[in-house]
Amino acid sequence: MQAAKALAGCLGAKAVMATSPAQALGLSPLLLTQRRGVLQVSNTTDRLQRVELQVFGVRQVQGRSTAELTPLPTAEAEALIRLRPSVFRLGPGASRVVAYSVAQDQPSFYICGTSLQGLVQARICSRWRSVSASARRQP
Amino acid sequence: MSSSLRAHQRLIRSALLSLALLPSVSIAATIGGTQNVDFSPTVVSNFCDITTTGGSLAVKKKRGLITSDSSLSGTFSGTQTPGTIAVVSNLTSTGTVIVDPPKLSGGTAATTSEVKLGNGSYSSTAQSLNLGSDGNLPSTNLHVRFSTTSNGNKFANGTYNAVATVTCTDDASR
Repeated sequence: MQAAKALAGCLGAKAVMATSPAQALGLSPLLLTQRRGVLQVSNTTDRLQRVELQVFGVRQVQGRSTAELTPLPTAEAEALIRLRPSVFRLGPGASRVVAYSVAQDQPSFYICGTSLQGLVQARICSRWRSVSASARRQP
Repeated sequence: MSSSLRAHQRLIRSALLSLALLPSVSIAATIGGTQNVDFSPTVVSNFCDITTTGGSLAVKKKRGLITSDSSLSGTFSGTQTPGTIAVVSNLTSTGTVIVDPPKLSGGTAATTSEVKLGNGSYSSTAQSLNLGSDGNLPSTNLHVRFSTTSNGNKFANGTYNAVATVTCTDDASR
């Protein structure tokens, strides 16, 4: 123990990350089928958490569709979907229903609820699929 | 005090009490009053819940490696603790959980950024996880590892933070 403390004192580069209790985020629905509707965001833990709804483009990972890592710029995102509020705090065990409205003739995109905790950023994403993209997937 | 006087006083008290109670009695007797008990709505559809716990990082004695993995050999400063992820959903084969390589922020840029899930191996590319037939993913350890070839293969003095992004989506077509 003393050796470890001595070593920690000698080393200049410190990697700091506090261990923290569990945090959970839920979102529904995961597929947006109507231009207007509601998203339900849930906090199933006993801790207050800050949630942000952000818009992302689509990418493929190992043959599966998922959201890009970087959100679209605010102006571009607001041209695709309107939703209020996009940033809010959720109390322990609380849910919030957020109304959305997708602009007409928009390409596919994801709207993701994001919550950051320590090493892990959790994202749950609902997909808006353009009519043409849906048609392409039909057999 | 005579008994007739006490009876008279009791009568007056009873009369006053009745008058005092009369208004509230008449309110309580109102017929047809209703009060709704409201419930906030719920959305019935596919859902996904991700539960996470944060981890902690340590730096190797010679400063060339930062990691959350205590199984790596060497002497470290700090405490290595994995992050964890768990998923509960009503998705089946269409549910997708993607874990992207971590990002390190701090004075010296990482040359390699890798993630390891459970007892798997380290990877510098995004990993896809399968949900179980019940739509869930049990708690799974998430380790990160960073190395650098900058600054003489050493992370410069400073504080370093790392974040790995875990994403749950439904890949089903409409």
